[in-house]
Amino acid sequence: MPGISAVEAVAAALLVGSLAFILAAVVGILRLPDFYTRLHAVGKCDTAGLALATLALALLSGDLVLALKLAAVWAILAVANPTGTHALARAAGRAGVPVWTADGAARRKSRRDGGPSR
Amino acid sequence: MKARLRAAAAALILGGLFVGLLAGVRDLPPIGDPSSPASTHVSPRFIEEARRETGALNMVTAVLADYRGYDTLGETAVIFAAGLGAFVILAASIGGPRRETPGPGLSHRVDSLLLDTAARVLAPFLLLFAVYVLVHGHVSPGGGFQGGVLFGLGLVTLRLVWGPPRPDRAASRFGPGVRASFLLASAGLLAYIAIGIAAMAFGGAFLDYGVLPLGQDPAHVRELATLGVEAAVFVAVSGTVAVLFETIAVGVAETGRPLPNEDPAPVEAREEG
Repeated sequence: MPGISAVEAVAAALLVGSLAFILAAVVGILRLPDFYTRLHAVGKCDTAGLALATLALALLSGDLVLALKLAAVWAILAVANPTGTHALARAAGRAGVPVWTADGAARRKSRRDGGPSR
Repeated sequence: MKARLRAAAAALILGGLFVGLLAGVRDLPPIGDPSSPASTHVSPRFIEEARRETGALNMVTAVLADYRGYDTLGETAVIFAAGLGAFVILAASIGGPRRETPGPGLSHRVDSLLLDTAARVLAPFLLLFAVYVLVHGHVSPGGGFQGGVLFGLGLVTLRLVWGPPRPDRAASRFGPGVRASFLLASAGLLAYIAIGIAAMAFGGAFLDYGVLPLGQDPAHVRELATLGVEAAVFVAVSGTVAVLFETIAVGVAETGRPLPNEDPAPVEAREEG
């Protein structure tokens, strides 16, 4: 391709991949039915998306020190993000935040449709 | 009745203060006005002389901790007062004297290998980076406030995972506790004031660092004193962060719903509420 180096092309592909993961996380937050599944979407997709984004930026930086700093950012995120997700899910489980089940959803739906009599 | 009188008095004082400050704003030059005294006298002077006079490459630090050290002392006091205020308000709403060991809420070690390991891995870097931000504030963005917050959050991270200090343990695993946090915050503020008074003792004005007997080159002396002041801010801020956390943790433990660390609730059974 004219005007774009191989490194830039790879970085662009990585950024697009990163955005795809983050988009998945957004859709997950908006569409999934309960706390745990939403957390599951964000915890995994954010970590992956940020990993790809930092990799792309490291490639584009063209500077070893800057690339290492970005690697450090990624390493901290890779530890902190899943740990935070784990802590949240654990706390929610102990506080009794309800878990969505297909059965429960079906029961609620039939109750809604069937009116107050149950 | 007495409470209502007190509230009315407080409202009157605050209202008067508000009106007075608002009236004063009218006399200020517009923000960013290039012909204002600040832009024609103060800023050029700082930009031209800060490096030579204070030895600080980062001009923000030179202004913050040296030229306007008095102002920064006030800010540090405000932060300390905020911690004190949170403590007083929460303590009043909970009632009774604070206990050093909170109840069930945040009272024990979190029994999770994952959190424990992550805290062990992250906290040392967090604490070290906080000190770096403090020391490097001379040449890059950073300083006592930012470093202090980071250090305080490092302490909170460990405290969250490892639980509070335990009186029944000779050497507690970790955690300053409310009292020690207050001591830390006060010590930082007092150290700042002490540096100011030390300058007076050597014949200068309050916070006039140049006169301190720390070397021949006055710029270098001011640089060292600036670092001292930033370190004092660092201690005060990190102590205040710890105070805020400990106060809230004790409040959660005494009044909040306990979070049982054993026997997680059978969530399936609760689902239909």
